[in-house]
Amino acid sequence: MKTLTKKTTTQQPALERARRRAAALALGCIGLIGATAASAAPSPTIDAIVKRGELLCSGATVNSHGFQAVDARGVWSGLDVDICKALAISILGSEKKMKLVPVSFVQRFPALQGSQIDIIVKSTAWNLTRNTDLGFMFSTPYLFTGAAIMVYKSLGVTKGTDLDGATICTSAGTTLEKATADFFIKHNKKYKLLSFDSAIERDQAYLARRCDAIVNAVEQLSAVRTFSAPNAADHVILPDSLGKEVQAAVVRQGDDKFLNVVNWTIFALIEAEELGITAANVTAKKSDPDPRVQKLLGVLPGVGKKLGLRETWAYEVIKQLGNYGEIYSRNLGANSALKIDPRYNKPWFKGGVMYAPSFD
Amino acid sequence: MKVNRSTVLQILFVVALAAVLAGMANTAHDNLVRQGIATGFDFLGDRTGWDVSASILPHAASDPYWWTFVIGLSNTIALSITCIVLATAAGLVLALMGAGRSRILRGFTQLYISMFRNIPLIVQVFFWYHLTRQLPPVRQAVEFLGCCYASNRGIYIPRLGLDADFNLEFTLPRLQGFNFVDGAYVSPEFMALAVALVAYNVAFVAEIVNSGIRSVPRNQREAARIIGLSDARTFWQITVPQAIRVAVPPLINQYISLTKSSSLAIAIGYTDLFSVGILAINHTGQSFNVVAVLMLVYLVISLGISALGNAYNRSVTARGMR
Repeated sequence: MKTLTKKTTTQQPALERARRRAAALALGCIGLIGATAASAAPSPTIDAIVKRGELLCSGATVNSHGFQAVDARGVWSGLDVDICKALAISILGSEKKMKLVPVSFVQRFPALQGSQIDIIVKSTAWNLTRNTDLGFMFSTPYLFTGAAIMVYKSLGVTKGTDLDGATICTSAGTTLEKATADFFIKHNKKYKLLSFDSAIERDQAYLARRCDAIVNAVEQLSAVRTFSAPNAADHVILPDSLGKEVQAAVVRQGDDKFLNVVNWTIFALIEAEELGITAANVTAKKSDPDPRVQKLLGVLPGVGKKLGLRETWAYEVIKQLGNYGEIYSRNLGANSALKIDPRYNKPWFKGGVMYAPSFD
Repeated sequence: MKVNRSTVLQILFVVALAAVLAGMANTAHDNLVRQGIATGFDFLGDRTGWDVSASILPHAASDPYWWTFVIGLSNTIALSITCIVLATAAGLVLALMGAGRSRILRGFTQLYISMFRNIPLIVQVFFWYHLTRQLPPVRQAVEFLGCCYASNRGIYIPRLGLDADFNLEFTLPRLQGFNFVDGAYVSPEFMALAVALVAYNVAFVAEIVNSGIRSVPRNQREAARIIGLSDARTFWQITVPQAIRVAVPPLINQYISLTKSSSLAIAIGYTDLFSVGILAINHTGQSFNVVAVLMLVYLVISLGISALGNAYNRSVTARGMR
């Protein structure tokens, strides 16, 4: 018996080595095939999107005004929806070739892992755990915001630390739960958390005063106040910041080309705002002498070939949706019911942090 | 030694099944590793960073995942036991009403059973939950019985318990700051779930008990009458002992079903085992491992109820015919 165990232990490394060598050889072969295939086939995700003629984007099960909301005619709109549309235009040429697969906040990550959707664009904050443990990659951020607290004015609360012992409503399984915990731990105050899977239940619980306060990104709090509350003036968003919420699109790891297309689609929206290109003037801008404008709009070739897309993809995106500033204004800003100040989401030269790399 | 052919086939089948399962687990693990998704059970020791709504056990955002699972489990057990006890008691009363001679009571029983049994449980949960919303906000809480308060944040009642020095103490709820302090408290989420689960399961328990009573042959009652037993003694000493034997096995199933359906709690923000699991999946991304934990724990709970029920069943069977 003793010799037998000895034998197997000495045999194992040799076996293991042989197995590894075989595996490495196989991997090498696959790598070679992959390398030759790569130039023809851009990426597995883009291949699948082109084949089905449709981009599958994370939809919603309930309205989140300004981000993903449906109107009486059944048409979805919002910042998140527009980012999905922009991507559909980049890859397939039309905003109509985008399908919103309804998923709740809790379902969105398993849905992406299980390939039921190609991408998550759903008020999702970029953090370390999601980036590493969940096996995801985040795009360049398309919204910089922060979590905040909203209360009834009649509560007489002026700052977050006044809420010692209060009950807080928020969304289950989100970064907001952690931001809330961190805030109350930092200030050594007690609180009771009530987390809801459904956004409607969460908002209704707050409005019925089941909770003293509600925690969410500033834009979403504005939406609750504007669209769900009987009287918007009854509510006040407290000045405390409960941490940064950097919202970005989410894709599966291992498809760099797809991530590039997502990133540069967002950059194109930002670049267009910086260059003053709008949906209205984009066609006229094609004859603009500025080489930066010509590069972005595909007059000088490059933007298409480098990403494996049509040369005019950025032109088409701007033509159909407008630049980032227009998209923001229409969904969250001055031209929307929410009238939120873009703050950090202005271009860098206007005091914001929206900054795109060069399209050279 | 003669080996039975069917035994060999059975062994081969089990081995093949085990191999297929092991292969699936292995493939799943490889795929997770390839996708860069974290696996393993190390996360159970990690700090969650988020807090649960309410529990009889102490809890904080600094707790590790395993303790948060225990808190979820304790909430599931508290809810299930409360509902099993109440549903059984109310189900018995309803069954007796249905078995009685009053036509009005029988009609009421039939109406109740057909109504509550045929509306999906989740709809009932939302119905009761939205009803609790109709209660006034906490600062305008309704006082009743001179000691208790009802608000859309729950029912506050006096508490008899032990203080920090293990002395018996009696506290009354009183409003301080944002909430009532002292006293005991039942959350609207717990109330809505308990009422919904009890109301729904009462209908099934009543049907089960009723069928138990009906299963006792009529000539047993006639024989009892002939030997001069009163109606009440006939019922309690002849019908009930035999009815119990018929009713207990389906009742056990009903208790297991009740416990499993308590996982609807996530819909209204009650932190039971299932909702802790879903939160953990979302925060750690380790769906396979979390689901494995959930399946194991629910299996243990269900088998536990089953074992208790079977033990009881054996004890009642032993007293009668065997």
